[in-house]
Amino acid sequence: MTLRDTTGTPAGVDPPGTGVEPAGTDVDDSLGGASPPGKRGYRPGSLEIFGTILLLAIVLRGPLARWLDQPVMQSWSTVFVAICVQATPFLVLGVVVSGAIAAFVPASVFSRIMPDRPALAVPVAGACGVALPGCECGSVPIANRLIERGVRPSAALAFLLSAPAINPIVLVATAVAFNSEPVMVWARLAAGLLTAVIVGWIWERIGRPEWMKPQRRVGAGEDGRSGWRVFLSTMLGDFTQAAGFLVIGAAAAATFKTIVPARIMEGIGSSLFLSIALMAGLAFILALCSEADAFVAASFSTIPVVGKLVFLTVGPAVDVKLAAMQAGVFGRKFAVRFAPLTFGVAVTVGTVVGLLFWGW
Amino acid sequence: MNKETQSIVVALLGGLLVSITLSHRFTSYVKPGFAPLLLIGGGILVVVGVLSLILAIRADARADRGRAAREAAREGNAPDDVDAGAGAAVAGGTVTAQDTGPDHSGLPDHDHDKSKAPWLILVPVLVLLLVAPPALGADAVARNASSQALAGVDVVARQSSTSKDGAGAGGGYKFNDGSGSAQDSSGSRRTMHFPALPAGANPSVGMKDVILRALYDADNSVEGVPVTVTGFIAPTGDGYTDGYTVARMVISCCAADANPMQLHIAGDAPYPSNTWVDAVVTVVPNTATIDNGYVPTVTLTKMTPVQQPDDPYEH
Repeated sequence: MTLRDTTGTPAGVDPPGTGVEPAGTDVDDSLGGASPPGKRGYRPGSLEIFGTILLLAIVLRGPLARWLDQPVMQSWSTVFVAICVQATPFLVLGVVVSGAIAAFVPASVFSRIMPDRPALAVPVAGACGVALPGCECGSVPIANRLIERGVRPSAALAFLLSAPAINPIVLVATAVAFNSEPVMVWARLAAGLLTAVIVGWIWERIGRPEWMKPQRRVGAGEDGRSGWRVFLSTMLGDFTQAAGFLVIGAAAAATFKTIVPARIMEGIGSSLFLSIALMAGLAFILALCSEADAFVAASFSTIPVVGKLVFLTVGPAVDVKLAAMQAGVFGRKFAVRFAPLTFGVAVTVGTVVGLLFWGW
Repeated sequence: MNKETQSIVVALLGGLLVSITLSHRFTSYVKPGFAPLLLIGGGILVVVGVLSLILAIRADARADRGRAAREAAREGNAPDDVDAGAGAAVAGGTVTAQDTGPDHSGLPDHDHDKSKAPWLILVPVLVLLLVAPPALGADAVARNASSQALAGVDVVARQSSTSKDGAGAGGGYKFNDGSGSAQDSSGSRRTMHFPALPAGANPSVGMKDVILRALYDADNSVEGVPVTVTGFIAPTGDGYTDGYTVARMVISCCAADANPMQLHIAGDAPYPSNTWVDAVVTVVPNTATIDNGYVPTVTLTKMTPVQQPDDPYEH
């Protein structure tokens, strides 16, 4: 089988961590071109590079294992693998939903159920987030698919932000973790939903389509392909794309977890503003799964409860892992605007809702 | 990365998830409750990977046949551009429809195929395959040590709300000293009530349970009572100058949220760091203070090396 001709695989791929530079050049390989296959210069396809990486990894296993055997690297790699392992099932759930939308739900369905007025569409989409029982990694490919299906970007982004914060599993986990502070569940619901809707409205005003990567259209039966093939191909494409960026985020979070000492938590609690800033920053760099963050937040006993709410509002909306995934799925131009906007809105909303619930 | 390689990588990752779950290695990374999620998620990835690979190979074979047909068509006609284009269109009448088929290699997908991000999936796969990082150990204890009264506080919060004095500890709004528990009217932090220890001599008790009892139990259920804990040897923590620690990590979801639970023992460690042991220990009352991060000192009766438990973490 020939791999490089039909798919137009780029040769300049840069396999991570191995330092292998494929000796490929960008040969124009348009179908039906003048040069017969035999005269074409050799350039390695993905499979060859893949094989080389595997071979190198096996050959270099000894040095690699010794390098990772240092205590610091061991802790790092355990946390790194843990985040990847933990997030993958939720990402799979996300791409199954995304694939199903691409394959079996025609675009007309969304234009029928979504209100035409953006001011209404955003909160409706935000409220729909209640229905997706997953964490934040899964909602990125789904939001991407919704935009591709003609849902307004602002509404799809509201869904992206609200789904991980307010779905039933996350709320139950919050209720268990904050047993002695049951109001936290409602505060989290309110703050998560408000953040999603406000960011959606702001994006409706300032968002520009050219900030987003062009969508690849995957039609449901439009080009005569069977739904199952679209389903499969969408799942594969979405998963590999999002998972690659999940790996970047997991590496960043594991690095922070390894180098930032846990002791910085102590002695902060007395200042409300300091604790809010600290909790917002921690939520961003720790990149915890939204189903686990309530347990971690509850254990910060020196932090005022408003700070904990900020942690629970920022975490599912924006963190280092999500920012990496959004840059991959929606494009870098999008991520550098959307992540700070979300961060600012989430911190503000978390603080205001917290003060409303618990007073100064 | 092309479709074939993507499919292989995805199937590899899925298979790896299933295999670490079946071999119980996954408990080094996530809590045991994740097992069904990992099996389902991994299984879906394997199925998606294998089916995509089959479709991609079949599409390639068809594209090869299509190219052969085009070559033949071109040789039949005069080999100038116009005719070659026309020949391709004729021969490709069936071909192009097919090869943009399952592998979706039409123009819009080029952007996707060009992406380098999927290569990164190989990093965790290779780390898992070749190195298989162990559960967090002594290094992580030193790294993540903070006041262990904080680490236990979700339990404090949960239990104190059902305890009879209902001190509303832990999750509260009021600033406290980091002890993780509000004080009662007499100034004692011992405001919690625990179930009775298991019957028998040297009952086995979880590390977190022992520490919470030592810190907060109003009934002093572990004072002067030898108990058996399972943990690993680690260097002594802040606030102590000598001795060593028997530690266990506590996680609520995955190893990324791990917190160490430590008991301090005087003297030289009988085994190297990271050795798992069963230790029969007795808590020395009132040794856990804010200066040592609320790590209680225990006296050691007996210590035997053991295999790492099936679940290296407590929850």
